[in-house]
Amino acid sequence: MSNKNNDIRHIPGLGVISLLFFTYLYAPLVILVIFSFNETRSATIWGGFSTEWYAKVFVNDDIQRAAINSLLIAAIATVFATTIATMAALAMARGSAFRGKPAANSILMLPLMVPEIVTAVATLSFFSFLGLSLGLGNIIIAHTVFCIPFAYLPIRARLQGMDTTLEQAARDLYADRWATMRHITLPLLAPGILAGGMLAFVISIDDFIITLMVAEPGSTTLPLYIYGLVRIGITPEVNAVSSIMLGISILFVTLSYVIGQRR
Amino acid sequence: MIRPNTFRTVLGISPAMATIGIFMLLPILIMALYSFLEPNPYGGVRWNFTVESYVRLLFERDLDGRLVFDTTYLGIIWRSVWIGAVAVVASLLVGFPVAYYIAIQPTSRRNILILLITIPFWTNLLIRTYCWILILRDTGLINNILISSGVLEHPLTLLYTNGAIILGLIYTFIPFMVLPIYASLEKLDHRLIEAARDLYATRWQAMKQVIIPLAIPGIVAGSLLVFIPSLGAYIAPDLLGGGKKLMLGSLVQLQFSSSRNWPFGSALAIFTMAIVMVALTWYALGPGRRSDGNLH
Amino acid sequence: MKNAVEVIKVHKVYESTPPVVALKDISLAIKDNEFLTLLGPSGCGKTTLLRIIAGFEEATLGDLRLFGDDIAALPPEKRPVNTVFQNYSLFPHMSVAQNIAFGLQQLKQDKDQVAKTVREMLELVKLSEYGDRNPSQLSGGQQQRVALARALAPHPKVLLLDEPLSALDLKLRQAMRLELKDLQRRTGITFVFVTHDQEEALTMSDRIVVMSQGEIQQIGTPAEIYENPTNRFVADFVGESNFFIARVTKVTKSDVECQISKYMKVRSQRTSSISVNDVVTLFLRPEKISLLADPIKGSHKGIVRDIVYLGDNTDYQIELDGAIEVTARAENRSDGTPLFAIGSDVHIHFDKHALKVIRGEQ
Repeated sequence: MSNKNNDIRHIPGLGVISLLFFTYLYAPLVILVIFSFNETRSATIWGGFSTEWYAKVFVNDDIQRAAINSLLIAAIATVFATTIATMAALAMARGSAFRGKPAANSILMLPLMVPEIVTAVATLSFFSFLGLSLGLGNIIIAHTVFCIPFAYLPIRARLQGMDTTLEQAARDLYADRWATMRHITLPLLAPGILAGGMLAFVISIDDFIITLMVAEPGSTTLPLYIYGLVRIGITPEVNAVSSIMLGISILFVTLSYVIGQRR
Repeated sequence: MIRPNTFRTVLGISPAMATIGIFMLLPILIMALYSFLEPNPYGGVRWNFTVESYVRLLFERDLDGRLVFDTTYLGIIWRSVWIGAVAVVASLLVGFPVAYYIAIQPTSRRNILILLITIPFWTNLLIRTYCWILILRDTGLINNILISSGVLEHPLTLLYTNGAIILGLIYTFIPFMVLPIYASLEKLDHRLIEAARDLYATRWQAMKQVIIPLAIPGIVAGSLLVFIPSLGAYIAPDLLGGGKKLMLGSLVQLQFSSSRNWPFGSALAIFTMAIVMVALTWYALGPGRRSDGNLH
Repeated sequence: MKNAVEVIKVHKVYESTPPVVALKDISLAIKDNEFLTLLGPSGCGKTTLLRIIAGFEEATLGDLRLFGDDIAALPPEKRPVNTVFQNYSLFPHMSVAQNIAFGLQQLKQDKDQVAKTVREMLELVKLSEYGDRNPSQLSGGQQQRVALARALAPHPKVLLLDEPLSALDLKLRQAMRLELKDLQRRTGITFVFVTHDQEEALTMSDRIVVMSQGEIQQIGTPAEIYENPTNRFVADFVGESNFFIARVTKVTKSDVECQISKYMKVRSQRTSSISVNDVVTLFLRPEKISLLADPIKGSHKGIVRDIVYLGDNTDYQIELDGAIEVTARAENRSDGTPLFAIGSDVHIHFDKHALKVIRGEQ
């Protein structure tokens, strides 16, 4: 049965194509990480193993400032977006079927539908129109908005996969609406909320275009800093910072996936 | 009885509606308003109403101030559309076999492969694009290998070409093609294929007459999901195209930064959004309605 | 004595397009301490009725009383009624003991009392060793018992069971029937049991309510339902039946005579309001037909057209009068062989009390 050639669905060559595909997907990332340990200044000619560039990253004040900004923005935007998304998901999945529900669903998905560059310049226009200048606050607002659907989707998916009779069973066993929410719905939803929150965090910390347009001088984030370095020239420090960011993203996404899979 | 309460439901979604409404819908409306104003050469706008920004999409004013048909911007729009289209076709050609391969794997293996496809999507777009500079540039990995192995004497120009941009776009957006196709293939009952083969169809006839037709919703959704972000792409044209080969996304960004023509940038952004909306509406009315899967 | 549950003219319409009428003017009095079964095919409205009593759904029209109190407007947590769900719906993030304790804790009973009841309940369902387990570590039958214990722990006035045995395999299902019936006797709680399985209904119930298309077809004890179905649906759904459409040819003081085919007349017991030339439906259970090799008085001659071997019994398809087919069921010989072979002549005989007139043509 497990013999591929006996599987009626198998088509020769698929495995090779897929292998090449995954190589294409991961080789550039691996190359980046390898060259971040390169001893020579050249970013693309191998000269021996060294962790020198990582050491440089950790003593670079600009990088640290940018990293702190990125973490602060991501943390706050994640909390806002996840809270808002959880409320919305509960209302959409468990609430009554009101007239504007399809429209509400479209609005929730809007940040995914509009090209990022459009969101970026629209938000810039909006802040300049209002004369709003809150430093990091502007970026946090912008990030919260487009993190909402990313947090919303896993939470909603979890709610949809959840057996509604569990909540009915709780009501049947004398738990009122709030006790049911506290003892049944939220504990069972927790992995979804955590997964959504982690995705929101990753999306925020990785964002470049919107931050580029909205950020004011002094509000540099890590992606903006890396962009600045790349425009000047390729250096091993860029490789090192990029590898660190890559590691953080992969860690968070994998965690989010594992948590989301948990029953 | 348990009666969902409309007031509580509306209360639950109102923070989301308010946040997205105020900080996304309203900004788009303001941007639409900006597109009808005059640019301020120091950034921002002057409050004089004009349709000049939309006229500029097609015409140029000559020295006497007369309108002359001009294809500069039309050319950039066209470039964006065909580069996007090439990215879609290439992603489809690679993505379909991969999605099919994943769909026929045992469940545990399937989940790991899907995770492997999603991870790059969640990592930094800028960094993923930057990786290709390391590979493609004159002193990059490919040229290094080809020169040191004696195949070439002088480096090939790989970076700052349309090819590099397309490669970068495919690289960043191909998960969007694989995932929806996988989603439609995964639901496919393998007994349908067995039935087709049982009824004397060859492997390829089964593929053509059973599998591909059933995967159409996924293919259409995937194509849209690759096309839309390609159209508005900024990083790939900027880093891999060297900022010289403009696309819609980078053109918009340019107007809001060094060109300081916010109204024109706004008009371009509205135009980009219009193309996206036309594509989405077409999807919602046509192939999207047939599939139970959502676009996202 | 007051009725445990009174369902008064309950009407339920689902507001879809087109609207679906799930229940039509249902009135039903459920007695205290009885084991009542709602029996019917899927989509007949039995589960909807149960969910309305539980409070998960609201009747479009009608009243609902529990021991005389109007409960129609109460949410489920305010009704002293508990449910055993079809898929058990055990809380996956709680242990077995925590599941059983949940209702008691919501009722704000003190800790010692809760612990004591949980112990008793675990004992009642023979799961004393399993209190700390997670529900997912239990077998289907054990999960079923936890669901029962959880619903019984708060000592509800009425226990609602929504096809609780449908997920179990046959042997376990048969064992659980006896256990359920026993549990009901011991606790003295009114059980309202929903099923589509007529055998379950016949073996466990004090009374059965047969439902179809949102309406009650018949209410009665298992024997009444089986022996005296009031219409063709009930006769067809519960047990197996032969139906004949016939014209009444003669009515005497105690009997009616009906013509069921060109040359064939049968006698049946007289029922009220029947007169000559009425068209009626007659029904006859296959096991009430005797098969004979030689004719006796009142027997009818036929030919065996097909036989279906059932293990202990065999079903014989018999053609009578060249036109009518009846199914008769008879025990096999002690060596296991059927009494008659295909194509052989046979004579059938039945008591006139076994042939019943049910109303109308259909």
